[in-house]
Amino acid sequence: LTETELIHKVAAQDAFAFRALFESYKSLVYNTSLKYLQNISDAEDLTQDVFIEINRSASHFKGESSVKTWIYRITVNKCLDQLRHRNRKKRFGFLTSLFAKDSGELIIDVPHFHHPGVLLENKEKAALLFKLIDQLPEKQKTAFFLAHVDELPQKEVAEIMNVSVKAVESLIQRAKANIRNELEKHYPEQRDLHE
Amino acid sequence: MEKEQWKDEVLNSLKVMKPAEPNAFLFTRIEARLQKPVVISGWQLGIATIVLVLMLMINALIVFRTERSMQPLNQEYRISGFQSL
Repeated sequence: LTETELIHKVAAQDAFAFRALFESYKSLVYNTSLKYLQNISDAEDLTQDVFIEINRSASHFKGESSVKTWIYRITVNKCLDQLRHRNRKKRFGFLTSLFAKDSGELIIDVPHFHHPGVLLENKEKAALLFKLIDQLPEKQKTAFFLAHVDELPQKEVAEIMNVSVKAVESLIQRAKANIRNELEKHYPEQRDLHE
Repeated sequence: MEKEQWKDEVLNSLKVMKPAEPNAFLFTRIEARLQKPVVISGWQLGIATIVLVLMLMINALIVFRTERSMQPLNQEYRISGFQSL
């Protein structure tokens, strides 16, 4: 059974086909969501949303791209929507805190995220990198995750992001340059930690 | 040199991570959500009705205004038509 046939079966509401598709792609969807949202519970909720969307829109799959690209695209779009929603909430929280009587200080900082799959010796560095990636613009963030972290070929990243290969290349370079610039500011405190 | 090495290490720190495993009951939850019927609440229906009525009113207003502005032009056309005879 090819993947396109599997999708057609999902569109025909075949429960076994849907289960098979879930088993093949649950890790990809969950781990992508986890990187973007940096929260286990949010990533699980988003994984549910993605598979519900897959189930409902399987009949619209035209086969112009691979199933993997299609699923990646749904996941990335949903993650970005969730992040936009989170930012709106953060802004609204900032406004309401200005009018709150008892608020002494404003807490809007995201706590350090420790990915469960990161090796112990990389824990601190990965947490710092997650924090810096979180500050990147949407497109740079996506290009960095897909090409640098997931190590997908640039052509595939371009297909997922619906941009040219050259654009992907430039986005990755800018993302890396921005992260390196930010790391410059963090280096003194890192050196102090080791001394 | 040491700084640049540190930066590279940070940049590559996510490359060697193991994929995380989602909750074992995730599929059961998805199935439960898929079986739940889509319920349209009262307020959603209300908003949809208001939007529909508003759109119909705007449409009617546009058609009415266009017809009114076309009337003198039609009359003029008819008069000039008679004169040419």
